[in-house]
Amino acid sequence: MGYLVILAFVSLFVAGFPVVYAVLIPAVVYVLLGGFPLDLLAQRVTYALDSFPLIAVPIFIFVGNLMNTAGITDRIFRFADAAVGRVPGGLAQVNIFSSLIFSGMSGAALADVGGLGRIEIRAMRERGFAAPYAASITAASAVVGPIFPPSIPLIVYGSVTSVSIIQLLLAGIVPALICVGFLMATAAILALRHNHPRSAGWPSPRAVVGAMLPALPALFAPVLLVAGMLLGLFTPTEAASVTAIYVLFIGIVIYREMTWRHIVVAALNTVRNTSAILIIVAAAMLFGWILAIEQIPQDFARLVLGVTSEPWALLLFVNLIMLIAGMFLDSTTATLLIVPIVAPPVVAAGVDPVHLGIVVIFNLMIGLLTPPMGLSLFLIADIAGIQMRALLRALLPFYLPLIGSLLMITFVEDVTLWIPRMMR
Amino acid sequence: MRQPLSTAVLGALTCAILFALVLVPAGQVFFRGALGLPFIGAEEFSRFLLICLVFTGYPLVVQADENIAMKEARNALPARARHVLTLLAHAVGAAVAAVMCVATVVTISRNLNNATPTLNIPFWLFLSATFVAFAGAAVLHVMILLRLGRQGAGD
Repeated sequence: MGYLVILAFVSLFVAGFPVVYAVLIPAVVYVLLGGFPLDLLAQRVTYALDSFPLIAVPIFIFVGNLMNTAGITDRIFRFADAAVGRVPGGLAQVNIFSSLIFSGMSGAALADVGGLGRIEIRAMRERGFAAPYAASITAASAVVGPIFPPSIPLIVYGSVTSVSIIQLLLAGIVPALICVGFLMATAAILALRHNHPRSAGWPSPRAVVGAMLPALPALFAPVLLVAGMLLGLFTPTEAASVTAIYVLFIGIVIYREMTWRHIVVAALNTVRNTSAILIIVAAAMLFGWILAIEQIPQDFARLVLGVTSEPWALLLFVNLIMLIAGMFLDSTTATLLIVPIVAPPVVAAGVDPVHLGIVVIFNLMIGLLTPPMGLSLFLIADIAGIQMRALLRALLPFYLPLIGSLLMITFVEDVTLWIPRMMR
Repeated sequence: MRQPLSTAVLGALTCAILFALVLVPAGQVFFRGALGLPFIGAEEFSRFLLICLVFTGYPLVVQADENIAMKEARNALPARARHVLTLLAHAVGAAVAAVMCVATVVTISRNLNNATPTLNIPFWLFLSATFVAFAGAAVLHVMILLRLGRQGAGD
């Protein structure tokens, strides 16, 4: 029966049913046919959200939406331009560097693409970059966001697996920096080979400081967030809340560009984005309950551990599964439905659950850049006004640094666990 | 274009919940860090607000057609098959939402005297948000179904 439920979910999902119904339909039928009490449906779904860590999700989405309407994104971009615009690759480097700073405040890749991405692509096209190249670097650099703290996918992962969310968020810092380094090196090599435009000269220290000062309040946000969590001042949810109030403060009082209308529009978008994501979390609780009743994770663990219990082989296996899952499922759905099945044997074989979390989420983020269900791809192609084929061709060289980062994250455990171990 | 009153009310309510959701954890930090006092019930109230936000906001998601779905395979089908699948998705969506609605009412009726431990928030208040989500979704799916049925596959 459990496998029928999974088959029904997959069929409904492929037929284009909303994920929440693809999950709920088989689950409701299972409960009704199984003679379970009807109360179970409402209780499981409602109390799935009775979680303090999950509160960080709407707040970080709100922060991302506010940043895109309050002039913060523009200032980050101008500072990045002054700081790294002369490096070979010019605005391509600025694009990557800005994404890193932006991701230090917003936990969502799509907020990066939709907000900062628009500014980056427009600026790159004005300076003579081809539209597909501008779009491809924007898409590739957005992968960094969800592994650099704060990160909505990591919060969802932590709440599903009961792994410390603070440890997960801190574990993402070094992998994100490595990925940024690889992407910048690739952009520099491509720039030297294709003679891409860059700033005419190195900026004077005064020019860098001049661009940094207006961006300083925005640059302080990720410092506040990470330092607060590292020093044990805030939980991730409290950090989200403090960041949101800080962004409102700099938008209204310091930059004076945020109006009541901006706030309401950002709030309404946040409500819809949050509800669309977390209603799946709620429905997936029922699904998880059915999997547990049918002992599917245990069956899967026995099957996998019967083949191998070598951590490196299991990690390779997870990479394969999550990369394929990321091609078809959005990150929330994949985390909620696949991780509870895949994680137990890998953790049982000795892989650190924090390490596994970063591997899983990085795979899913690469999945945002792969057809057929690459949400970033669709959004970027739409923003840049280009064909999907042109975007994919321009993206090809950037898969190399992304896969290189993934392999490093997967097989060099210290890359992810260095900071969390300092806290243990 | 003016939005329906129900949308405006739900929008205003969910925005207010979101603002409260931002303020409560920050208040907890302030009380603990600046005043050295506990903010009793803050976590429980925040969790309640999250449940209210997600469920009362869900009809807005259905109305805006922003449910997460993989529509690529469906979009590759001929117009008529696509139309039939879309109708089916709304019909089944309405039916499942209706079942969830009934399940919520049954659960509320059996737990009328239960409440949360610290703040004594009544259990029915938590589940009211779930009721709003699925009742609103069921009604909206039926409305969309009727509209799409009238329009036909060609539109």
